[in-house]
Amino acid sequence: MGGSPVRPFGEVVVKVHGRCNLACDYCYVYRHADQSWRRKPVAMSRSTMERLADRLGEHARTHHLPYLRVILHGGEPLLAGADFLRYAVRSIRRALPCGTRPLFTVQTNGVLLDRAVLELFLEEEVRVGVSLDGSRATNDRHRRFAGGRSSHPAVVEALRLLGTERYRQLYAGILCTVDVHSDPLETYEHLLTYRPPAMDLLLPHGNREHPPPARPLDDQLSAYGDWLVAVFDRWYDAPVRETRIRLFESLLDLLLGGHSHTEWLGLEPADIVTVDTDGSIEQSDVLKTVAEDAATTGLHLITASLDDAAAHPGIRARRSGVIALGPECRSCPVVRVCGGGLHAHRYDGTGFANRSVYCPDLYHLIAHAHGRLRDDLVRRPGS
Amino acid sequence: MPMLSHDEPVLRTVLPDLPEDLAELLTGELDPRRASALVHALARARGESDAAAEDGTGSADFGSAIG
Repeated sequence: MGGSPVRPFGEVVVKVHGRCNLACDYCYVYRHADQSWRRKPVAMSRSTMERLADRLGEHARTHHLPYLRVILHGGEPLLAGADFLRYAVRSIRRALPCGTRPLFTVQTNGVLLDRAVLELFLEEEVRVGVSLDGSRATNDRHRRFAGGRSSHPAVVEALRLLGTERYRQLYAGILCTVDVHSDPLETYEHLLTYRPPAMDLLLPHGNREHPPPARPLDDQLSAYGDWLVAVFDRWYDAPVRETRIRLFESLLDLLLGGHSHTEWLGLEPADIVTVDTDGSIEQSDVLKTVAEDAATTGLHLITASLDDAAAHPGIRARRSGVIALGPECRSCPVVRVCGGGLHAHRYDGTGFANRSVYCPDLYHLIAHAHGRLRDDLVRRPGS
Repeated sequence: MPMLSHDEPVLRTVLPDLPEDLAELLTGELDPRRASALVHALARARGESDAAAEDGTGSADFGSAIG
């Protein structure tokens, strides 16, 4: 380890199931460069889950972690079934020391989220995030079943149920992947109808070698930035808080000298590790968009601890702040806020020391939010 | 007097023309018609709860950059 201290992980993404019941056209697991899902078990086994629980307990004890976020993920995690999900949560809870609070969240497409599953999550204290991209027309452009059928009605039903008084305490929020061809305000206001306590706006994955849809390598264009700015203003100008938007809250907090709450912004080290269905310990899942096995560390729960993973060069590189960035980013006036954007979006076919493929969009958004803050804080009302 | 829990030098780098007295900034009146997001951000800057419990909106944490 070279004598440098190990920075612990605060969040583990657990791939409880490796397949999905939707066929979203932008999915980073199945539709990008990495196809390793084909070689891995369809679902995590109980023995792998036991091993994971032991490793998490070891990590929590070593670092005296006050809490540990556990994201039940996939594929579609609800395909793992209620019995396995209960087993997973109880195994991890049992393995953690009494001073470590587990915070469980499941990130689901919502299709299988019914009353029985929500009763399980109520019992086991698992919060629920649901992926939805907007109105039926917007959502159906990307998030369909393999046969082409719309997923929207099923997801809407799940969100309605999640929003009822009995289950609302479990409602973590909505993750929306931006379709720049959709109307930003219509999309945002559609999502608001499900009364999410929080949401996040994600950009479709891509990089400088393989740019995302409608994101050519042209600094004069910022269609995604324009889209985000429109929603930012709608959110920022609301007289009451209708929902929280993690990307925008992180942006304001960073501009005010605080911290980011997302890997997408800021220079703070990522504290996330992924464990796949076969027990392999991986880097950020999103690296699967870069190249085959780009997220692989070669480490496995049987032979490696999470401290071993924290010392892996790839994971360390994602946690080394400004020195991991390219020269253009290091000299950029907004680098402390932007942080170079998401690691995977900086890839150019050979490495990551580049600007994000979304650099013009991030710059536009940050400059806009900066202007809004300056107007409100420097020229105070009435002054 | 309210203190800023965030990094004040960073804040002053980003917004160099802030008033000298940050306490005034943190406690002063904001236009209530469009101050919700900013009020909550300033509460976080003071290291306070941003009143999530009060308005029922809960935590913004629901997993990281995954979707």
